[in-house]
Amino acid sequence: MNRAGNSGYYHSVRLEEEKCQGCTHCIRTCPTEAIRVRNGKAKIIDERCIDCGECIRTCPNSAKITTTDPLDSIKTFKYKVAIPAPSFSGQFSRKYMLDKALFGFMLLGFDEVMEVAFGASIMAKAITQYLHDHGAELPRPMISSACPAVVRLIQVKFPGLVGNIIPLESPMEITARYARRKIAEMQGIPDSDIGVFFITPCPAKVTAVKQPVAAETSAVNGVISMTEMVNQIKKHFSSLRSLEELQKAPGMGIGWGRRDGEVESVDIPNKMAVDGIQHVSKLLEKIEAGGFRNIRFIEAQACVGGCVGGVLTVENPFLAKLKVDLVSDAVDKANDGLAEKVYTEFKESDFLFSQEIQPRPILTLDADVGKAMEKLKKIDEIHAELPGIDCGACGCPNCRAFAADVVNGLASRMDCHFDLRERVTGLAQEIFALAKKLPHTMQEKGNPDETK
Amino acid sequence: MDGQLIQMEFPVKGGNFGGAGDAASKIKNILKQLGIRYEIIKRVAIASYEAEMNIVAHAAEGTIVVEINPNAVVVAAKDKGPGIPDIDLAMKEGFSTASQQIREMGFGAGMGLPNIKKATDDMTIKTEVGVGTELTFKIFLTDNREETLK
Ligand SMILES: Nc1ncnc2c1ncn2[C@@H]1O[C@H](COP(=O)(O)OP(=O)(O)O)[C@@H](O)[C@H]1O
Ligand code: SF4
Ligand code: SF4
Ligand SMILES: [Mg+2]
Repeated sequence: MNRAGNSGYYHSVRLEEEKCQGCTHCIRTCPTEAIRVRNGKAKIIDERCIDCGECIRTCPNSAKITTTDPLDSIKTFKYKVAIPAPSFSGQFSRKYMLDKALFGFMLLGFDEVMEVAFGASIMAKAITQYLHDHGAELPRPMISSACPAVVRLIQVKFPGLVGNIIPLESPMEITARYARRKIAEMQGIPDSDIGVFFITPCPAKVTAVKQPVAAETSAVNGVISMTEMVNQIKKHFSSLRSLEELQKAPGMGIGWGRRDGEVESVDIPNKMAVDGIQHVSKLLEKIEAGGFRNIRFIEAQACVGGCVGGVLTVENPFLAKLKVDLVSDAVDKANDGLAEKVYTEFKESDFLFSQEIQPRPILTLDADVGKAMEKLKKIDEIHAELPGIDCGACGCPNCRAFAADVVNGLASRMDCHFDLRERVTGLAQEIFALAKKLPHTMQEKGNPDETK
Repeated sequence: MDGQLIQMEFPVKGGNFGGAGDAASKIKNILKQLGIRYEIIKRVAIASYEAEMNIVAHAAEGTIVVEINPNAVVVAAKDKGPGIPDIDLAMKEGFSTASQQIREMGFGAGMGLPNIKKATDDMTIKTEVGVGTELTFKIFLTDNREETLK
């Protein structure tokens, strides 16, 4: 079941082989060049994939999917808690509809619901404080750790920047920990009976729960698709009550569901937001080259528009942004005070990662510098001979990646159709020349004039 | 042995702030593929970026020539330009002759040359007023520097 196989990496993004047509659409949009088409089917390279979901967006045959836990899996716990992502608010047009939707979780079998937007408000304060306290010794710019796809992109493609990731847990993790602690304290329920389920907008968050990068395990027990929950809730919508007291997150935390939410709520000068994995990649490239050193905080999200753009959301991301704004404006201001109070119950060490994020470089050609140089030269040589049109017919994202695969023994020169065509032409000419050769015993029966 | 030497040349145009940093970025990406330690890549990137920027900001045109062997990277930034009349002065932190216009774009803090000096293991400047400048620096790729410093 686990695609990770020998690599040891868990991945929520997987391929449904029967549906895959081997069309090569996905190999081009993957930000880490993690996909190859082999024998007519897409193959994801585990070491490279960051579960960003970009290939799910591009696949015209819906062959790429996100693996999530079924709603039924909540039954294995006595006390069930739903923690919907901030982007959940963007799936409903009005505050009262969000209230109803939150009540919907109760109807679907949960005992309690707590918005991750609540944890986001707490994390906004924690990040502000952290940058304030440690600003002088931190590299610049510091990059938010909230989007797991961005964190993994940094690990694999920009490993020199792992130290720029803010070493604080995500709103999801803090919400889950707070929920567990509060339920255990208030209701005396043992921790092992509490099942916390994250309602996710994306595959990256599933992976963040199943295989966290900065902790041994997650405080979240399972991850359910936002699409599935929204569809279920909407089915029962008319019979739902609007229970205002379920909605506890401040408007500021709800804003984290879309682009700019972090930037608006983290109180530090010189901050900026970037969204869309290709833009994030380009920006990290510049940062790695020494740029943006006067910026202190960067909100970076893999999805265009932020989490409302996640592949497991239902609403159009741009409309969802408007909805997030409408809902967050309508939220009870008293919620701010509650988040403030809960924030003071935490110490800095409660927010800090318990493990350092490790680099996982995928670009290094060889552990030995000299050998890497030789490989690089060979790649350049082969690349120079290729047509350079990045046709994708070889199953690689571009000619350069193909050249690298050839040098690494993962592809054959013959996989390039242009190369093959040239060789076939050469071969045909040879055959033709051979065919014209007659044994000495045979006379050429050509044009009679010629025999004269 | 030839396989273990990489040479490259990048043209740089004076005044082209849009493309500034391209050469530095390419050098950095090669070092990443070679598996060089990040702290060293960072130093190479900073020094190459500043050297490239000085051609863009102060000269008419130039080239960046890079040589990488398993032990070191050597970068030479050569330009046709005004030259530097007083190298000691130019090396002072904060000294800059950059125009107001260039400063408004966020360049010209006068930290380029001092930062190159700090980031590299060896740096030389050859310059002739009215002709041009050639800045060369070397950064060791192995841990040697840390060891020799002890
Ligand atoms: N390639 C060059 N050609 C001419 N002058 C230069 C060059 N590089 C540096 N300089 C001179 O040295 C000064 C200091 O350079 P630097 O420390 O990089 O600061 P900045 O570029 O911010 O002015 C520059 O302002 C300029 O007068
Ligand atoms: S999920 Fe993202 S990184 Fe993984 S294969 Fe798909 S596009 Fe590539
Ligand atoms: S931006 Fe949000 S929805 Fe998109 S991958 Fe990152 S965490 Fe998931
Ligand atoms: Mg300069």
